[in-house]
Amino acid sequence: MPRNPWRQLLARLPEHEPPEEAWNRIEAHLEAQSNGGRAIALAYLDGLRTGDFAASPFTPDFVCTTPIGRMDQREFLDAVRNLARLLRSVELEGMMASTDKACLRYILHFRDGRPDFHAVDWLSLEAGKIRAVNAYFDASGLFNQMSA
Amino acid sequence: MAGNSGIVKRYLDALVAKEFETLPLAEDIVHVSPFGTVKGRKPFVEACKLVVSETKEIAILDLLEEGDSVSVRYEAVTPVRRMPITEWYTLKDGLITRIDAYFDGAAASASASAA
Repeated sequence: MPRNPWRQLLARLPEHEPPEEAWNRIEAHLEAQSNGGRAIALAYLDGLRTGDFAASPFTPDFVCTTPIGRMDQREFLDAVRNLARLLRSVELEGMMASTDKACLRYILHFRDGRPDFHAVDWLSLEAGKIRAVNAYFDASGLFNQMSA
Repeated sequence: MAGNSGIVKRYLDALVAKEFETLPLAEDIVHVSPFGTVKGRKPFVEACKLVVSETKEIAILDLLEEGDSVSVRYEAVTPVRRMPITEWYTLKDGLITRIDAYFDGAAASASASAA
């Protein structure tokens, strides 16, 4: 008995490929999209380190929401490029991705010995581009580090 | 919602309902947040009782699951504000063994004071 409702739906379709094959094809498609999401998320993470986001393009209405405010694309790029100059490396602690979203957990390591900075970014993806970033971090920790 | 995602959802529902005895937590759970690290089920549950005392709802915005990990971003709704939080859960044998919570500590403190 199929447990997945998609399998039940496919089983009702006449004159199509066998449900099992159709489902395998759909799963492969979703997996490929998820892998695309992972690739974009990894390119985004590299962009945090370098300030270069050519490999992880943004949609025109891109917005980044953080505990210290919202930024459009230009404001976001300015902020990240300023931050990138201070960074020694960006360490990926974990990543999850689906067809339309990705979650990145990472640590920023600074060049001058400032304390490490821990954050999680949620990326909303649309047609291979990043539509939104929701960043979660302790803003008081950030301010302490920027003034250290 | 099944699997580890379902366990995390059950945990969040139990928090809102203040049903602390049903929280699916391992005895040696570790919780890390801007407020520090809490180790062990009993001290963590005591901390939960304080933190969620004013929470009326947990509105889940996004959830992803991969292997033994689940990540959730949500808003903790209190009478005075909606607190944005994301948590990264690690699970083993149907229980939550670690939670890494990410939020603005200053905003959370201000929210608690205002409640």
